[in-house]
Amino acid sequence: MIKNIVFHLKNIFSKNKNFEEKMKKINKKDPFVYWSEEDWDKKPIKVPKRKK
Amino acid sequence: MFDEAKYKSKLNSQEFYIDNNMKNAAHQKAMEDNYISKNIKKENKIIGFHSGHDCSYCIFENGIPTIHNELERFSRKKEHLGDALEFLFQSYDEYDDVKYFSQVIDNWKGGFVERYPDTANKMFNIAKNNKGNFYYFGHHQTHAANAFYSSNFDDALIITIDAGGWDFKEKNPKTYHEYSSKDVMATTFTVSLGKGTKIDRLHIKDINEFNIGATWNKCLEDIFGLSTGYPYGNQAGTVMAMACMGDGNKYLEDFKKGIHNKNININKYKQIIEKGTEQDKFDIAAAIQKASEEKIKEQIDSYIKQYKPKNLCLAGGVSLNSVLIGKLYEWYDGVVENIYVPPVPYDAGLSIGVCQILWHDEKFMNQPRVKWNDNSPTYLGYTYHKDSIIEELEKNKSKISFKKVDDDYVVNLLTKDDNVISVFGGGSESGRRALGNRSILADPRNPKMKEIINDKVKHRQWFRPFAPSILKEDVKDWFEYDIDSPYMTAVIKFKEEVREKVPAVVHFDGSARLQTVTKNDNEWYYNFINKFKQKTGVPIILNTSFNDREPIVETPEHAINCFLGTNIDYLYFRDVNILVKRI
Repeated sequence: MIKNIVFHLKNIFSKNKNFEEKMKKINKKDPFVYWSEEDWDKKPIKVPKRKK
Repeated sequence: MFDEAKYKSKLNSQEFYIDNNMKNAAHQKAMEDNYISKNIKKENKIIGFHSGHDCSYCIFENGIPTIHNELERFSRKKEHLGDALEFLFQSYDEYDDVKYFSQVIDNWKGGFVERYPDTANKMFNIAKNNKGNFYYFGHHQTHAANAFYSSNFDDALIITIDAGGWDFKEKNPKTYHEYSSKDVMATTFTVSLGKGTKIDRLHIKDINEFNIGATWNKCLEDIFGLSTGYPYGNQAGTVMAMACMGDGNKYLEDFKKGIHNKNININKYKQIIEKGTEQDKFDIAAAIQKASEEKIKEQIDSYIKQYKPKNLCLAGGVSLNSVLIGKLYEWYDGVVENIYVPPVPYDAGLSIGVCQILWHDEKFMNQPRVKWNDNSPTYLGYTYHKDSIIEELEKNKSKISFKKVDDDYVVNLLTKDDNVISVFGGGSESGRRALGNRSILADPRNPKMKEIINDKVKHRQWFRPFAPSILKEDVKDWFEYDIDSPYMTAVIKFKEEVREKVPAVVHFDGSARLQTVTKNDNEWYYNFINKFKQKTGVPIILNTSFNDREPIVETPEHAINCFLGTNIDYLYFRDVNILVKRI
């Protein structure tokens, strides 16, 4: 039980601490869609060995 | 039983291209029928891409989507915006036989050629070298095509609704290679008729006339403080879940006035939420949902009355509103018999739709429809080799233990000790829903299971429901309507007398967003649920996506990371029958 509570709190703080700041950055320049300005940085994607 | 050797020999003898990513029996059967009936040559591969939010690409071979990847699964950020061609070139490498490339009309910052010139040039060069070409299609034209061509309907009324996209003003523009601003219009709503391979647009609405999608985004963000996209995903599902516990009439008149044109008194409702109780939140959510349903019904009623369609297709982001889809069965009971929403009705599905237009439209390749057995396949992501799984297990062996088991063993685990089990296997699901290949499973009979899953992994609000997967042949005994919902697209009600048998998957109003499972759609999952039914008498398993607020896991590495980052009890790599436990 305690483990679960600690785990839960840890998750909330680690994943949501900058939520509001990040949301503010979501841009509304597009005429009809709420698009984020933050484009994918094209960092190489790791694709593991696939089944052929 | 599908005979792969016979199939390959037939294909080889006719110089067919053999797909290496066969997904399931339905997929294989559809491919076989289509190859054999049309004698299509291998150089007819099409690549569709979408360089917007929900960035994706689709590899389309001989009438069938064989791969569909979304950037978010690899970048690990929901609804990621990006260069779909860069994503394609990084994760796919067979271009010799690609004839056509296509994307929807794109005006964002000057279009994808302006935004990503290097990869656009690379794509144009491949098309040129292969004596192929590139085409643009309309946003809603493509949503409509994706819905209709993915269905098994010979004819249907097709409705598209979203927060906006660009379409050609003319039904038949002079060229699909380029366009200017005078050729296109922004729209949020279209109605079309599909018959055979033809789709005829009946109506297109200007974006300023009707925009429920954008109003929802505004309400989500400004009233409820919820996310509407990158990087946390669109949280409209939270509002839909709240809606069933509220009084939809309390604020209905206000929302009816503005739900279609963003004319909502945001401050008024923001204050009510800040100062009010949780019930006020539910009442506002209920009004938003009810007003949306009424406005959409107003729009489509006349078409239903005029065309009396037996079949209805829907696509566009608003069709993710599974409560609305469920209502359509009630509204048009006795007229509409079948409703189809494709597995990727939002913008990531555009990369599939453009390929389908090229393949079927008489102005392009003019190829016949594909008959799916039972549904268009949706496990279109990559299937990972067992070496990749073993490598990840070895890498993490200080934290986990694992052993060989069989499905019966896992079914037995599922029925005891409040176990929550994640499964990983086969191709990853295209679309927002985990449908058995990247899923977290649990026993729906356990009344505490919703809280247990939330504690162990999902961390959702207490009022959000979990979905049931049910064997298709048992739907009639458990639900009020005997429907197909293979991609978890419709919410309907459980029959009253069975609700207490599966409390973990029944929402407060008795409803559920069900997944109907057939052997053709997902043989492993069908057999697994059947084993559960044999053991418990219940043909239903609780199924939620294998993730914890991130996008659904894609690779074995993601699966183990998610497993270790949560309190899921077991992880089952079902392709290799390995059960993983935390040490």
